[in-house]
Amino acid sequence: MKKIILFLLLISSFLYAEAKLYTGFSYGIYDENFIEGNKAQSSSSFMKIKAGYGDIDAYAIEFSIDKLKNESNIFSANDSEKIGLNVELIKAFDFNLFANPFFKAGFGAGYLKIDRATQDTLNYGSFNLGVGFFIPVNPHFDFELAYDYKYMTYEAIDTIARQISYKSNLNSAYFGFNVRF
Amino acid sequence: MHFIKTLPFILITLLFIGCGENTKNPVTSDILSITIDDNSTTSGFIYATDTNKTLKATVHYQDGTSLDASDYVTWKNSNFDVLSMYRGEYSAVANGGKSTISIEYGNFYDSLDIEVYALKSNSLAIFTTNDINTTGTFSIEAKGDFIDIDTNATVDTNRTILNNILWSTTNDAVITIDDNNLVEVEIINTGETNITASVFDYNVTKTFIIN
Repeated sequence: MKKIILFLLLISSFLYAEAKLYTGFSYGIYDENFIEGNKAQSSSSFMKIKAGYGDIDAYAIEFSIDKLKNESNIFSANDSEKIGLNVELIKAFDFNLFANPFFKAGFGAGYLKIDRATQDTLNYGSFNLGVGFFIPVNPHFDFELAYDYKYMTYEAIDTIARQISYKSNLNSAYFGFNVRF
Repeated sequence: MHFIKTLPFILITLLFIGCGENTKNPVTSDILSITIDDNSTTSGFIYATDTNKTLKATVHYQDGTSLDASDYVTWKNSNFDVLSMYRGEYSAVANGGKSTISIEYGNFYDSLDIEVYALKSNSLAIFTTNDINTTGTFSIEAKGDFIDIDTNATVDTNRTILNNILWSTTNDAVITIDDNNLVEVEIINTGETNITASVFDYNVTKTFIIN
């Protein structure tokens, strides 16, 4: 418990230094390869809205909601888009370049609607990693270009006689902008 | 200059992601139905004195495959006064009657009506494979005729009784029943030994006199 409190104090002290609230929007493409359960693949586009608190050249914590368009039918004959909520900690650097590189780590959870005899939704969780760049235009506006990796674990598919679990690697690249207040 | 340095990273990422394809058909076939399967030659009925019969639940998938789901569905028995049943294994507990065994899972359902053929009154008899005229161990069995209660028609005769039977003896004789329901009586003492078989409401006694 003490370690958690110390960690949170440390994070809050990092965030406090010139920290700003910010919000943003991103659009990108993703490719998802299923590594456990039956083999399958899904590729399409996604969009993300987010809100965060932190510094463009230090630490930030970010909450995002992403909506992954779906063009595959892996779990059922009519899989829907995925809606997910993510929490990520970002560490950015200022090397006095035109762009601030960053990396981030976090986790997320979401769901998609499926059309199976015994299930109509499927939940999933994810561990998230990412690297990218903030490209500041002015103190209140910057572009963002990044690569994200998610290790996804899905709720089991119920076939009565078996419970089939799926896991996947999801790679994505996106471009977006942030507005800082 | 720096943007040029980052460009390869961007391109490789986009190339990597751009290679993606989409799986168009579900990789796990959906459920089509569940069924109760009775593979015995006496499907739909059981004799009142037979040993346990076993039903199987099968889940059928849309791709034509199927799997045994006996351990995963919910088994139900409509009349426990007629049949005892646990996970598809059932036997009669009454001399005649009907019950429906069903399976459920979500919206899926199937059922099987089971009729219990009854032991006919005055048909119960005790048989021995050898004449019992000395002390020793002998095989014995009880047999009877069976009827369909609805039609009163005889459906089997001289059928060996394997279940729902109680044996009793006099004169210190000992009854043993092995795992295959084969019955033996050990006649210990000389004199008169009575062996009684009780099946539901019926009793029959056979007397052996050992000199």
